[in-house]
Amino acid sequence: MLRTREKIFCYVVAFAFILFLLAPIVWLLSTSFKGQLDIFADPPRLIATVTLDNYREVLGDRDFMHSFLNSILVSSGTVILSMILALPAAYGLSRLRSKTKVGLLSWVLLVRAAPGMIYVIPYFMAFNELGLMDTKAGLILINTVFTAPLAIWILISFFDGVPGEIEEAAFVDGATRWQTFTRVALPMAAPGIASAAILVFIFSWNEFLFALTMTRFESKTAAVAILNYMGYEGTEWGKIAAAGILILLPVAIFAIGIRKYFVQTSAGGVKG
Amino acid sequence: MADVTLNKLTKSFGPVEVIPELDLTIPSGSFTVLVGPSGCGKSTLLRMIAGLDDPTTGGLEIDGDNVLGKQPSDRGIAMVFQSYALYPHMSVRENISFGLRLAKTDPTEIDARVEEASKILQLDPLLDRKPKQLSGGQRQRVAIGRAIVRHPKVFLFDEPLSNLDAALRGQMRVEIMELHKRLKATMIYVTHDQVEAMTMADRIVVLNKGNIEQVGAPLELYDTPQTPFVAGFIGSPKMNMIEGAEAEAHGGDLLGVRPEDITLSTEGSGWSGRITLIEQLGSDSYAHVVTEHGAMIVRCGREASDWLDREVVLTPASDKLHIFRNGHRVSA
Ligand SMILES: Nc1ncnc2c1ncn2[C@@H]1O[C@H](COP(=O)(O)OP(=O)(O)O)[C@@H](O)[C@H]1O
Ligand SMILES: [Mg+2]
Repeated sequence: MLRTREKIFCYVVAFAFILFLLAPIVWLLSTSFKGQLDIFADPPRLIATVTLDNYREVLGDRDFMHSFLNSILVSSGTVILSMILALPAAYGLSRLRSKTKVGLLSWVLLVRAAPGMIYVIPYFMAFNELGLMDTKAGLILINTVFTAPLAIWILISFFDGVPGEIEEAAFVDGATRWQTFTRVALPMAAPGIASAAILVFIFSWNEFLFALTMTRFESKTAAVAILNYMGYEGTEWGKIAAAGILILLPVAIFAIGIRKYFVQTSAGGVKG
Repeated sequence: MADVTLNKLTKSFGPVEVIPELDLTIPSGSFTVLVGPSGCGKSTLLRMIAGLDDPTTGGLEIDGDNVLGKQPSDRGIAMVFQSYALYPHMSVRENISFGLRLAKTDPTEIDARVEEASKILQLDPLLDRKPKQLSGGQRQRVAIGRAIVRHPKVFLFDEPLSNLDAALRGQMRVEIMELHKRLKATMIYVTHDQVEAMTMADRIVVLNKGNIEQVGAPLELYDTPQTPFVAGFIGSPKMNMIEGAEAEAHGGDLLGVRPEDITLSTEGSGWSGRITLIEQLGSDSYAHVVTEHGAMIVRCGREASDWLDREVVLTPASDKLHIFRNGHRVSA
């Protein structure tokens, strides 16, 4: 047991840290409900007169809403494509029992660890040639280059957690390797699949560099569209804040949703 | 008839030879127990029969068919794993019927077979539960049910009871024996526990480092062990082993006597020793005796507790001596 003084210390440190993490979001939230004048009030006030004008204008802004929809489509597409590639790859790598496995895994990690900038120029030129510039398909493709390795790394450990004897029981029951994959391994790795899918979605949703360089208008995503509010005639802080909160919303919902998957296990199939 | 025949079977993992060369016929309808210390290759052997591992060389027939290269599901076998290996995301009913559903069996037939199995194993009230809601014994029964519904010619059990507590193990032992009587299928049962082997088997195969030491009925192995390994492995407490001059005097290099084949007394002729400890089991007592030929265990009556720390005389029954030379029984 911690003594009372130690407990208080722990709480103080934890709260200080949370404040540090949340302060920008609190500022964003408060700014999004303020009028242009209140934003620059001195001294700044946390709660001013609450106005929904910023949200009304952002939601009524067809360009921004178009980008928001793009973000949803691109992120969902990235999740689907990443999973189609990562699920069989992770399963195969998890079942591989040779030295090639380590080599393959480090290559996968290398792709993931390389700075995105390295990819921008070759992809920019290739996309120009292929007509993928400013398309959602192109953006999904380049996002997947980064998210598929991420998903593979998460999924491998979940497939590793599927005991070999359960798969062998399925073989004895007459399942093919494919049926074992789809009907035993996949359902058992479901928590991992949900975690991986959510992380891929969040990555793709927040992705900025490729969205900025590979799009012009048609497939611009919300993260980039915010820049429109930093115009020549001044920065519209209220709208930026409101748009920021709107972009944060799905991420926050997923982050809450993902917690329960990270603690779930597949108990009960084998002993203990 | 569903004989299982292993023909000059060998198995190596890389440079490590786990099964040197093994010939064995398991008769149809028998309850054959493969017993041996942990790591001696029992699971490897069973997995090769199941088709989960391929032999390095040699032949394997089930029911007269060469099954090498055949999928596990095409061999007419079913396997019960030590870890139960139930599908955690499926209900008991789905677990049991998984194989039948994969084989696209007629649904009414599936229901009939699941019902049959759940009646034999008393699983009725559990059919809609998930594995994690079951106790260890119930999980093992589900695993057996999954094997039963496939109507296999040969059942393979790999240490199915080793994760259960002692009381449950005794009960499941009886249930599996009753199952064998009822289904009359060939059963191959792997265990490291010689008590399980003695009580369940009608035929025991004793394995040591991938070699067969002896094959026979339980009492045959108990009464006439052919090698010192079998003599020491079968029976509890272990057979007393004497080396040296006393063994030579009987015509071997190793002399074995079971604890129940020695009489303890306070006078007379025999080996002299001193009782250091007495184990009371209620039905029996075992005296630990330090003798001129080393430490021995002797079954005795309750009266022996009066002799603790006293000099005693041990008289072995002369017709119950096991004499070995060069690792083999000297026929006498
Ligand atoms: N896949 C494998 N690769 C390498 N060695 C193995 C493998 N499976 C088993 N072995 C080895 O083979 C020997 C026999 O194993 P096993 O058949 O599991 O023994 P048992 O079931 O009798 O305890 C052990 O020494 C084990 O380490
Ligand atoms: Mg084993």
